[in-house]
Amino acid sequence: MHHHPADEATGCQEYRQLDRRRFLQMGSMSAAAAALPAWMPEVRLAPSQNSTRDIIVSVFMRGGADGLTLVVPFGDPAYYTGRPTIAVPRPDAGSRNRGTALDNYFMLPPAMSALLPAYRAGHLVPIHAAGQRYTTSRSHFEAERYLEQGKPDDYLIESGWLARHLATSQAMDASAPLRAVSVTYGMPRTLQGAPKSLPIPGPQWYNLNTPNELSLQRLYGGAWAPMRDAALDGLGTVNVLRGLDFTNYRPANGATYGSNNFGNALRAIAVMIRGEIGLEAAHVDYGGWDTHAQQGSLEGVMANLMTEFSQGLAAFWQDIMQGPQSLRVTLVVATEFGRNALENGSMGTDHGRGGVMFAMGQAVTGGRVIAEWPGLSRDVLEDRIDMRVTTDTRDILAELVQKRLGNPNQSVIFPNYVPRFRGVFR
Amino acid sequence: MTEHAPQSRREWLRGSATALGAAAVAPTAFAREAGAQPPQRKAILGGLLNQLGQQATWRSPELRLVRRISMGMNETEAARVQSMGYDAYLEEQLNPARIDDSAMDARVRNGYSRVLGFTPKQLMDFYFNGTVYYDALLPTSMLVSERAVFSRRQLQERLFEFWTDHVYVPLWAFQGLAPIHLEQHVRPHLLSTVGAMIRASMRSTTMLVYLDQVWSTRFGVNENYARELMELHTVGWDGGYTQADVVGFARVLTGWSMDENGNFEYKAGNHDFSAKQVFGMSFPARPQAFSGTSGMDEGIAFGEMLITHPQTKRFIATKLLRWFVTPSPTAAQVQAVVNAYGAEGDIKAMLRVVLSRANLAKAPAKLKRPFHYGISALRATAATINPAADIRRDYLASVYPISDMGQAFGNWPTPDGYPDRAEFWAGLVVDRWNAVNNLVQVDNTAPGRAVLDIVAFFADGTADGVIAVINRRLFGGEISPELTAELRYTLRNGVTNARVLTAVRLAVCAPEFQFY
Repeated sequence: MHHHPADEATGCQEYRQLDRRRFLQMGSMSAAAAALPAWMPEVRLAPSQNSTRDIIVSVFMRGGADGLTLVVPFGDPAYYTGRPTIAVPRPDAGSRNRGTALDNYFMLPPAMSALLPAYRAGHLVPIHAAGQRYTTSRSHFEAERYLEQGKPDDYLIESGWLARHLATSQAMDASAPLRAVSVTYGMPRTLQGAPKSLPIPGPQWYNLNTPNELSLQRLYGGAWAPMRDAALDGLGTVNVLRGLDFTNYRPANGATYGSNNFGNALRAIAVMIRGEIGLEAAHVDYGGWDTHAQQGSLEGVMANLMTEFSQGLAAFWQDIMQGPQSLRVTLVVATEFGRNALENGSMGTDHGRGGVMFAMGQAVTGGRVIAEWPGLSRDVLEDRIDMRVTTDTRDILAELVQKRLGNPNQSVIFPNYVPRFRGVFR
Repeated sequence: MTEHAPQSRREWLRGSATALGAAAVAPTAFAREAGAQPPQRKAILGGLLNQLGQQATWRSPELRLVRRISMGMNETEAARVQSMGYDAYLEEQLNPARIDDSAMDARVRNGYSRVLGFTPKQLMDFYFNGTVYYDALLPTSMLVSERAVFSRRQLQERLFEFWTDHVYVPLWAFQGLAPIHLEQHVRPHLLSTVGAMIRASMRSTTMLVYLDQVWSTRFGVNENYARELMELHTVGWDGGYTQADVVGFARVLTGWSMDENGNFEYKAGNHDFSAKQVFGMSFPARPQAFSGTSGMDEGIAFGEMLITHPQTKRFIATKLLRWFVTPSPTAAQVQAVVNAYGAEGDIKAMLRVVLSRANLAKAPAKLKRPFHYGISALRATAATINPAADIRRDYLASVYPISDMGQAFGNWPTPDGYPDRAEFWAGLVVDRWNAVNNLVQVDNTAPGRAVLDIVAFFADGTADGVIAVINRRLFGGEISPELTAELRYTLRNGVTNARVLTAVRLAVCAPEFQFY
């Protein structure tokens, strides 16, 4: 009912068969064109291969999550000297707060133990000392921007790396009104400029209560492109999501999502994936990691965050990635920077450099921690306080784009960067 | 409905020190990144919105001015600007004391004098009793909205939005103190100077706790506030400071704290009196003091330096232009505002430049943020808001529809304040339609609801008459032909209450009402 003639006239079908020439013709009338930088080389569209392309779920831990608490390097003695009051006890310590070893060097703190089954199944891989090698700024807002746009030190790009992946690949389902969703109030830069993509804070209650639907379709058909696309895609998406039963969804394998924002978001994403609506990418923000004071690695702020975070991921793994009902879905977690290796004067940690990323799914080479470990002793710390970055975030994301999303357009998605793959994905 | 973020209570917790472990792996050497680019520090902001031309039908410079400096044009302000003229109207709005706002004052007196009278200690007590949300925070949100809807000092309310996002603290920040920050540290300085605003914010305990300044001492500094005071409040992210400057400034600020009643207190015993070199300033070592204000002069001097720093002038000038005019101001536009900055950032003088006829004549239309959009719908339709009877139960039209669109007052999670980028907000258009359809209504007259006088839209009872009223009230007479045609279509079967309401709702949902 939403495919009235104005759609054709205003070109919102264009994304479905776009090529370089069409992109340019569309010019400023297209959000997708805006996603592509002016210097964009010839784009070879990644083909639509439903059976061979993963759905990607991107999780952003906003605030600069402390990688040294999320995945603790208990094997590095400097971890304990640098953090006299906020360290997590070794796996062989007598404390009930001790971590659980992942190997002979790294462990998960108690609040992250929900992730152990996925790790032991080989479906979870932490990548340590990861971050933005060339973004030395410890500003949240600069670091988030550079990570999300996939290029450091550039204030010209207005689109996100995941948006450019979508803009340079054919839709997996040509009729889908919603190729990508961000379960947030507002569109994060990661997906800014993506074709057929919307921020939907509550997919389970996404609805329309206006009597003026047809008039709005006609009016927005001639509106400023991002508003036009949001309106027309939004109307289509309302119809599609109305067809999904979010309320009675039963996760596979007895998975239980927590009734918190993160759990609700992952659950809604799971419903949309299982509902086969043509969704190719989903993004979730999970904030609150800016733990400057009274960090609470064992009990308190960060422990609570880690509990929700790990339980959310664990439920999603169990529901979507485990066992015979598993689907081709890969999830990746990033943060703008890690935190100081040395704790500050208020039992917290200030903005640092290296942190940790996670990749999860059947296609990750999991059950191990990937780390080119830079060491935490004072003399090797960056600025004498921070763990150095040895794996660029883009190394992981680019490998994901190439191996799991089948998109060869690395130079568009991660401009001016030659990634070094780390064997994270099959 | 949006969840209201609960106060996140930080626990004092001391982890157990533990035994040292196995040997470290040797650090690795790095290769230089292939093809790495030199950093481009030139901030070119904005983006997709650059493509948006002016609304072709918005011809009147006077109406453009009202759209830019109000929370939404209505019939009264449209008529006033046209009778006074551009310059006189702007000058009146720049001097809010000249505007009779006695109706608003009475509304505040009758509904909010209790809330405005709370001391920090009282708010903290409410917090510990678990009642601060209904006693103070929710009424504060309602007051913010009601002022935006009903105050005649409209530019002042646009600036309240601007400055509360600039020196931002969440409404749920530490123990219920946010109303003090908003009313005593931000509101008095909306149209005075940047210097006054920064000085007030440096003594706002809400700010100092939110950004962890109160924990920062000579025994261990906390960089959080020092960094954001430079990055977000003064010189900006590209202001030229280094990580060492952040740490140094944090040392300069040690001792800036609060007392047990939530009032600002400088604690000399926590101040780091050792020598410091920070961002071009040097502070010689002095003997440690344990009482009095000795050492506080360092933070004051550094703050004054920041207030007059050329990068602060550029940063504030650019941000004001982006707020009122365009996401991508030109270098010449920025420089003209910098020239009006004066000794410590004369806000009125800068705004006279920002809001010049020439600037607004070329300004692309801007997308209203959800708060602005919801408030403008109430203003343009001349809706009234029924006083709440029980804020725990009533549907509060001044608050909840705005939450539903993603901009609950003070609910942005990070210290940069809500974004003002169209690209961020545009995708929520379905949520916006739903929220204003909820807001613009006539049937439910319960306490807390906004109610429209639909009869006032009837005019002579013809479709064209109704459209003329909508045009006058919502668009100052500058409605587009496309919307006019759709309104005719909506009213094609005759004018009834229901159809007129549908037409009004269509008008507030239309693309041209999303922009200003």
